[in-house]
Amino acid sequence: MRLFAQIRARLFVALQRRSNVVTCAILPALFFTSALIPNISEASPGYKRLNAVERCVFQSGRYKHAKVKVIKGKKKKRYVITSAATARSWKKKVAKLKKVPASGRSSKIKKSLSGLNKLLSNYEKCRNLNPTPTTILQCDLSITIPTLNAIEREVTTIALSRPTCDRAVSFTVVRQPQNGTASLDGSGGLTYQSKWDSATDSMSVAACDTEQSICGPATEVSIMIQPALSFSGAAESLAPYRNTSIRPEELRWAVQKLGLNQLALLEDGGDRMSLEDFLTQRLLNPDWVAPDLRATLLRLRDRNAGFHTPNPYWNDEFIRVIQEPRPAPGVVGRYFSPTEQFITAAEQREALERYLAASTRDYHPTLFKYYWSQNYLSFYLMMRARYLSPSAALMTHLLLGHFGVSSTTVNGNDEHIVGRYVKTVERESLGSFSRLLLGDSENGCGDWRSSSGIICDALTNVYLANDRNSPNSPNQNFSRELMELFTLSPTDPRTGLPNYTDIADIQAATGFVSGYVYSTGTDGSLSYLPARHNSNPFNAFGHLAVYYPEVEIKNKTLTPREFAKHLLDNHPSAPYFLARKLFSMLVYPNPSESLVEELAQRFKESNYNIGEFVGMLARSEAFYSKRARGGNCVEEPFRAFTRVINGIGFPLINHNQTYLATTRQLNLALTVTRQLTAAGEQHLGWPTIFSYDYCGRSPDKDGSSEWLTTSRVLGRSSGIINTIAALGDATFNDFRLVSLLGPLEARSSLMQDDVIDLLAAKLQLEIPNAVRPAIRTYLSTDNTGSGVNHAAWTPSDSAFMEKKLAGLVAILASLPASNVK
Amino acid sequence: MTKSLPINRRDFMRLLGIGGASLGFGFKIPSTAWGATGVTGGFRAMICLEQLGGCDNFLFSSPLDTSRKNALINRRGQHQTAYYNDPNLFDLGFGTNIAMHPALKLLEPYLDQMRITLGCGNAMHVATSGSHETQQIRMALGTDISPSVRTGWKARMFDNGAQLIGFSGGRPQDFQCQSDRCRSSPPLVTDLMETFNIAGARFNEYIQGGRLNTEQVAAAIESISNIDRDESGALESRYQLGQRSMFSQLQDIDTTLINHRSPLYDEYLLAAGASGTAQKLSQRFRNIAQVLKRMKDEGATDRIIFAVPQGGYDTHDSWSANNNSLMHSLGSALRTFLDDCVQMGILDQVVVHTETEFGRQLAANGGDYSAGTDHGQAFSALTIGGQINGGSNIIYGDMLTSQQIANDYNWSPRIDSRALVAEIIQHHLQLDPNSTAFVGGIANEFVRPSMALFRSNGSTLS
Repeated sequence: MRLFAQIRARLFVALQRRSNVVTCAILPALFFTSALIPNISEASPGYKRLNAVERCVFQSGRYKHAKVKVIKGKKKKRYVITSAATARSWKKKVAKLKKVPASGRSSKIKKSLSGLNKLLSNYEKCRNLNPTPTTILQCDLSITIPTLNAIEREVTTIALSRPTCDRAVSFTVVRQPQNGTASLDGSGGLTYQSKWDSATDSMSVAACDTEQSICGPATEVSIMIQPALSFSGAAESLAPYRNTSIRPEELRWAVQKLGLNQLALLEDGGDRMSLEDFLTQRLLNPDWVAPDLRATLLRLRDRNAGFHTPNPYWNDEFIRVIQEPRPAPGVVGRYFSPTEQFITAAEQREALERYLAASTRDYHPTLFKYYWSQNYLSFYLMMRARYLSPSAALMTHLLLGHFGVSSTTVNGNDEHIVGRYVKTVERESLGSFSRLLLGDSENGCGDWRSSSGIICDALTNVYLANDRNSPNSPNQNFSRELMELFTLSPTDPRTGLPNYTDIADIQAATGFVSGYVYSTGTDGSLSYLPARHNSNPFNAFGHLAVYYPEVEIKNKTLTPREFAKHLLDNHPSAPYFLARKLFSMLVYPNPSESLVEELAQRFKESNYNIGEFVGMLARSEAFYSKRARGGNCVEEPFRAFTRVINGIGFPLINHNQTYLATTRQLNLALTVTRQLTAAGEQHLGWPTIFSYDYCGRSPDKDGSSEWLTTSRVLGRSSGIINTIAALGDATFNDFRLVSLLGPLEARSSLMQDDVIDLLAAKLQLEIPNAVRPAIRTYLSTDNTGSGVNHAAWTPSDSAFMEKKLAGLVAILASLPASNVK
Repeated sequence: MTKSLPINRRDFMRLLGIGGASLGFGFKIPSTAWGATGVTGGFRAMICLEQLGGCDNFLFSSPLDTSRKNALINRRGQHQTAYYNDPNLFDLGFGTNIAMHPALKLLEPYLDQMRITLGCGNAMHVATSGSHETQQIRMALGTDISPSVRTGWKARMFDNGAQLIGFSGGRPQDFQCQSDRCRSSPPLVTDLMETFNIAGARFNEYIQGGRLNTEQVAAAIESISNIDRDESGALESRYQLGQRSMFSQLQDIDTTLINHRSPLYDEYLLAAGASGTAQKLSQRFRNIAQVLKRMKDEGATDRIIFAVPQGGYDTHDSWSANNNSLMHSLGSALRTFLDDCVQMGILDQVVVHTETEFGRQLAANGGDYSAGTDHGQAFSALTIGGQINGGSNIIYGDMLTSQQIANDYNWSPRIDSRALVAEIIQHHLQLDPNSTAFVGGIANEFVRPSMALFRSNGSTLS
């Protein structure tokens, strides 16, 4: 019997291994009689190997008498315990037997049916009681060494091979990966996601016998990481994007978006920098200057040194603070000393500022109004975008539009307040929005170079009539725009609640912001007079108190600066509105509400630091996501035109000026600014109080409604032609577009597509194949007027090519892709 | 520069033959390329003059009776006293005791074709925030602001077959149409038609090929705009379509301006005087007159809507100076245009209707130079056209009582501006406003009182 029991046990194991999923256990017991069954008792080793269902069947005593063999003259029976597999075969058999009509069934069939039904019934009963199988015999916990091939930042899952173990096995991470994160599920599914900038990684895992609480040896998982494609950032993520492995095309993208396509940022190894270095040293460095600025300044120095005659507007306050020390009256002044070398970036920047200021002074209102005015300001901003930090110029442009303050109400004697306003915005373009609005000084008044804020800005207050707002004669203009445009917007899109109520909150705000007085004239300025301030206590934002108790103002007197600060600090919509707007203008419009919540939180935590916020965006995955890449916004003409100027490298300063700010130079400024106006845009001459659609001013803005009117589309095409014409004036400078093609001897072999590709790269455009034939036709058209003549394509003819390149720039700049970003 | 009337109003009307019951032109011209499904009696035009910034009620409807006037002077303060006491205020007569700004006296010949509706509100101005943008969007949409509604009622009319021409500066929603027609040929929006050309662009003559190169480049841009391609995204496609329609409109505008000059073409700028803003508004009306002249010449039977923004009404300060300028612009442009329409014989086919985002508060605000008024609620709307039921019916709605003027903060809206617009759409444009402009549930948002805005309810031009 002992030998028999051993054989039986081995057979059992062998059969069990054969059907490893199961629940199936064929009990290969060799029993002579049913009375022998108790040999497989609950105490026997074989019993332990039965799963719960089988145990149940066993205990019920119902087996199938499967086979009878005759061994040495004795009948030997094999019994089978009903398992899933046998149950299925028996069900088939029952179905087959039932096909025999009941009346025609033999007793054998009836008996078989009865027996099988009892067995099946018993099996089903046991299965219902014990659905979970239990298996297992032996356990080898070693794992086959796996290799994980992942794509950078993408979630990759592999299944770890199951060790040879018949008991329950789990897996565990012994050593976490260094360049990513990993997790394991119970069945051996290993999920891994790398960080950016990772080529390889490793980790170790082990398999564990759950029943015995024993783990096998740690097994090393080697991880090979393929770099992700360009622009693989997650659109909803503000997490940092790759740094050291940033691709050149991604840096070019950043230059296009935040650097107004100033390709000089990428020169001298810029395109091989890490993202962090590129942002801090170049793209977001407010002190960056264009490489060709020095040569321009040297030419100006040699041309105009010694030429200047002070004029009656010499005491202009704004100019005075720009240029100190000024020459004594009657002394011929010099803008640039003959010995100046403009070596450092700081010297170059200061010299350009001096040049701009000098240009302003010489052509005072009686002649050409002023450089800061709406007639020139667009060009002024282009100059800064071309020669100084383009990101600072971009943010100045966007912030001017944000405030929507116009210079239309200012007369010539007050020109300096326009300059102060522009310079105040410029000062904080990559600085702090909080400081820009509130200033650093009491009541926000002070020096525009360091401490003044928009709250005490003269132009803003004059334009919005707040200098005429007093306790006895309240004027609501400023208080409305402070909340509607500057900080909150009328409605909270999250809740639909008004951010302020039309009468009570407006009246309170009007009282709070009163107190400023403006003295007109060349020395005029804005000052705060407590006697002009409404010192009555007011209640405000009571309708929001139930949701945001901190925003409610109860029976308080606040100064203008205190009230504006209260909005930034306590109104729930302030960070939300501002962060969403900045993100929409710089990344893509209509970010999700959850993303805006995160943006708002970060912006507020940084005390509304624009520089930090823009930097965070420029480092984020969202910025390098496919969603940010294309077709989100019809952008305003300023950005589209400036990209062309920067991409081509047009000089904006007349090289041949024998004195500063010649008529020709100012005419250029006037011409270019007018072209933007024809396309629908004029800085400080906004069409409405709420400026333009900068693709993000309000939810759902994409620029399409604002800029896609027929006249504005036309204005862009004609405007860019006129701009190129003005910049290509031979009397203005010696820059020629043919210089982009390289030396003359290399030009003869150029084909039309070579030239198209060259300019497309400078404008960062992908030219659709469908439009190439039309462009080739233009390039091959005889420009004497005799029509299309492919023989006309003579790339070595500089005069021919200069004309064609001018036209090509205009054609490319008119493509939808140049205007939709 | 004020345009003087050589004859009195009644003689003028008699001479024109459009006074009293003798109105009517009754002509019937077959439709042309302008549209196949027209109206009988020639085209119908609706010109929406959008007074952006919030036009003060009392420019169109200043009380003349002593108690109201004194109450108003008390609220408006010293800087506006002269205005309300001005003997040149344009007394509307007919026992209304209501006057318009003196500069609008130019419209005197058209008193019988003029209606002023008092106490209007855009979507009843229920917003708690009376911001310009909020109310302008309501005005354009014809409903409360909702993320799901982006198309203004004028754009909906365009989608439903009407013509639409806009001038820059208005609400984008006015032109944000959605139909296939809109996608293939969006409505023209221009600053001035004279400036809508590419001929003014010119490459540098010496080294860039001058005019010839400009023409070749323009041809290339046009050729590229006509290339159907799949590469572009949705916005790029719209940009391309904008370019495509721009070139066809260029030619069309040239035809209009060159071949269809209205009789008073040269009068518009003379009437406007030296003011640049007045000239611009007059030029816009002159453009409209040329388009209407062409429609008449070609026998068009379309409905056409013009959106003409006029900014500058946000008179928080310098109330008198700003409004004098605005009313001069408005009066001179409108008078010349109406006279031009009379000369063309199309006045019955034209309605000019003013819109604004809100009126202004009853009390003046502060101001050391010239007191202004802050954002209010109800506004007064001016409607003029050959078929408008004016004269003794010139005022619709109730003037505030002297007590209300003395004590209230705002003039509260009592008439939904959409009802007024619906009246014009139904009786002038002869369309169902509920299925063309105020589609869907919007039509249920307002009630339409019986205004009798049109003499004959406009179904025919008899």
